[in-house]
Amino acid sequence: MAVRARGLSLGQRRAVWAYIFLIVPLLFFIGVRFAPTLFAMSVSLFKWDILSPTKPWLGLQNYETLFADKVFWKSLTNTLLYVVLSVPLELVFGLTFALLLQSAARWKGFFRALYFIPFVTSTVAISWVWRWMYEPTFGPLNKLLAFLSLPEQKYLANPDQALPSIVIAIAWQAVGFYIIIFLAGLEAIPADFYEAAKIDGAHAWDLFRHITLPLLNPTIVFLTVIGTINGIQVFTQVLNMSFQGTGGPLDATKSLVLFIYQQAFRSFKMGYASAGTVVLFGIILLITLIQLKVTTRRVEY
Amino acid sequence: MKRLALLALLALALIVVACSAPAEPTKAPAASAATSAPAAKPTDAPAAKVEIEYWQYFFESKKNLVDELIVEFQKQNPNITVVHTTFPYEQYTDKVAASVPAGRGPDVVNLYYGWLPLYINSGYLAPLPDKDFPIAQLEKDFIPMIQIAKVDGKYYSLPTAVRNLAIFYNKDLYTKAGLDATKPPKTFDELASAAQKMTKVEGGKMTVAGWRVDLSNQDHNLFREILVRAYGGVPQSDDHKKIQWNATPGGYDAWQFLIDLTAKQKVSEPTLGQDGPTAWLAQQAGMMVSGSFYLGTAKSKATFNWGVFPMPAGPKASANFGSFWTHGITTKAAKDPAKLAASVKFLQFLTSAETMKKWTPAIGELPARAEVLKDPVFANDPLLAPFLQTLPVSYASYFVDEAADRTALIDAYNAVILKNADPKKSLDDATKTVQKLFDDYWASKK
Repeated sequence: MAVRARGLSLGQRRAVWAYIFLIVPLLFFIGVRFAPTLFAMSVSLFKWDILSPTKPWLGLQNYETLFADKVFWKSLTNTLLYVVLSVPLELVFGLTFALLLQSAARWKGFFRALYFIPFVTSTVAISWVWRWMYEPTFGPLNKLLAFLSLPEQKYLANPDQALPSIVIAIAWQAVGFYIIIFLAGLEAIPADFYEAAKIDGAHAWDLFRHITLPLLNPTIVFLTVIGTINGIQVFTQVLNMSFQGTGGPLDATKSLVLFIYQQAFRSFKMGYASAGTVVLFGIILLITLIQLKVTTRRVEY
Repeated sequence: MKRLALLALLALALIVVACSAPAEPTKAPAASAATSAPAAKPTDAPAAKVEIEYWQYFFESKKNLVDELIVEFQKQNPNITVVHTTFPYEQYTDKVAASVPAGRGPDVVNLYYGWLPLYINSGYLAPLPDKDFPIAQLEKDFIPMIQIAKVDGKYYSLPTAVRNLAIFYNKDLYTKAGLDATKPPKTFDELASAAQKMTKVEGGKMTVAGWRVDLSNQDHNLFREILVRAYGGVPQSDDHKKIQWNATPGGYDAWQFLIDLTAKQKVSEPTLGQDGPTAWLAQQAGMMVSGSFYLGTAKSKATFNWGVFPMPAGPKASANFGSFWTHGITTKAAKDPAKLAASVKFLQFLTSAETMKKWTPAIGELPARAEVLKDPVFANDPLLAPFLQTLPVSYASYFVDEAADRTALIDAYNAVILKNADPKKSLDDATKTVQKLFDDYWASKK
């Protein structure tokens, strides 16, 4: 390697150094990200039974089986439901609390820390606490309903309520992260805008509708993209909270990632599971592209 | 500048080293052991030191006993070192899955018998050498239940012990309900009515289930082998090719009986107390179906008086479900004559009558050798006797994918209990799902 090479200009030397330093993360990305992704894509074309020494070529047969698999479609629908239900919930609550926190006169730091704690707590622990809260016989939620003389619910054991119940736990945990990002976004809005608008006689709602919301657009886009990707990859909460831990009852809570996990590590069908991951990859790619195209349109006010 | 360059170089070097590190640094001693004992017959003790690895899932009493047994085995065979590794049950298949592509893993492995077709079909296990384990002798010495482990006329593994099921009951709740603990229920109808008496409902909510039905624990086995037979059906054809749960009216009756416990007689509640064993330990369930393997846990964890009674009979027959964890030798070990010889020795030791005599008192599972089973010590034990009594009518199910098979029944049960599906249709659906698993399995064998 040419250390302190002679005859190079300062600019060229700088460029050489920049590339030398870039090699390290590049190697990391090639070795740890890209290569396994490409490998998984190739695995999906084989009957890759993990215990078996022979891995016969299947072509697209894994995909054919996958698209004919009812459980796959069910888990795909569930995954989209996780996204559609959790992202708006997180955005609305995140923004509401951020606005409240921003106007809080004292103990701002304390409240920020308080709301952020769930986000840095172990997801497994949170899942189990929620699971106990939802417990139909002895859980506090049903005790509360009974106290209010309202009909008690089955929550995680009811195929219709199980998925929304998990969504609530997911949103509860994620909201702290949304608050922090929204707060940063709010801080970045110059105070002059509000002052000028107030002088013109704008009300609080006008300020929010015409200044805060438009100027938060990049923050909202960022959070929507992150929230969607997290929602598509939901796994831990489902594994720990679902009835019998298998994405039940009746696959009502099974997410795509849990489906892939079960195929790969319970049934040892690596090829089939890889086909699932390729589909998942395609979906995430597509959604991200659409979101970036649609929601980052520059709007001038 | 120079220091930075050095740092960058160092980072690069680290990556290169990490990437090119040998996948199997421990291979060397094994290879030398193989070459230094080329003439040794597999049955002879290897001349050179050899190390073999034994894997089982973590079950405290089993881990401790096997640790003790290994010390003894190594005393008898000073040239063999056994490395004992355990994993939590939930991670067991993950670990196996991760170790195979890496070319590592155990030489002797403990597997659930129901997983055998999957592992054998994949070439993970090697057949037991005929001269060390003659088939005729095995079938004479071991109880007939182990024959379910015979695949394509060969044995790939042997168990130390077998288990079957019985009813665990809370004596305190049983007598409180006005029942006589000296007269256990003899039929499933009597069991259901005892459960009704033990069930407690407060403010419209069940606080004690008389019998906590839990299909994700043992009650899928209860249905398949016990109830179907008890009501006059046979769960599978003899060649294990056809699932016959719904082939007779008895099959439907058995299914209806299981459903009615929750739906009609209301002696169970699917969410009460996390799962069956947890509910039973927390005194939220009076009775549950479990195996002899649960005796150890019950002894150490139950804070109330409890007992066990034998599996009741149905209107047509009396049956029980038998199962076992079994030790096999991997193809990886079979490739190396020294390791194979050591593994054979270890397997013979694990399945010897002496080991079994230690195993049963420590674990609760019953010995797999017929001759050891005759020991009056077991028949006189009040906790083991209920299991022994139904051992002659214990059947092990043939599984091609145990997890999927179980899930099919759980889903069918939930469809009825949670979504009011038609019981008959749900059983038909489960049968169809599992039949497809079997069809695919047998098709892949050709």
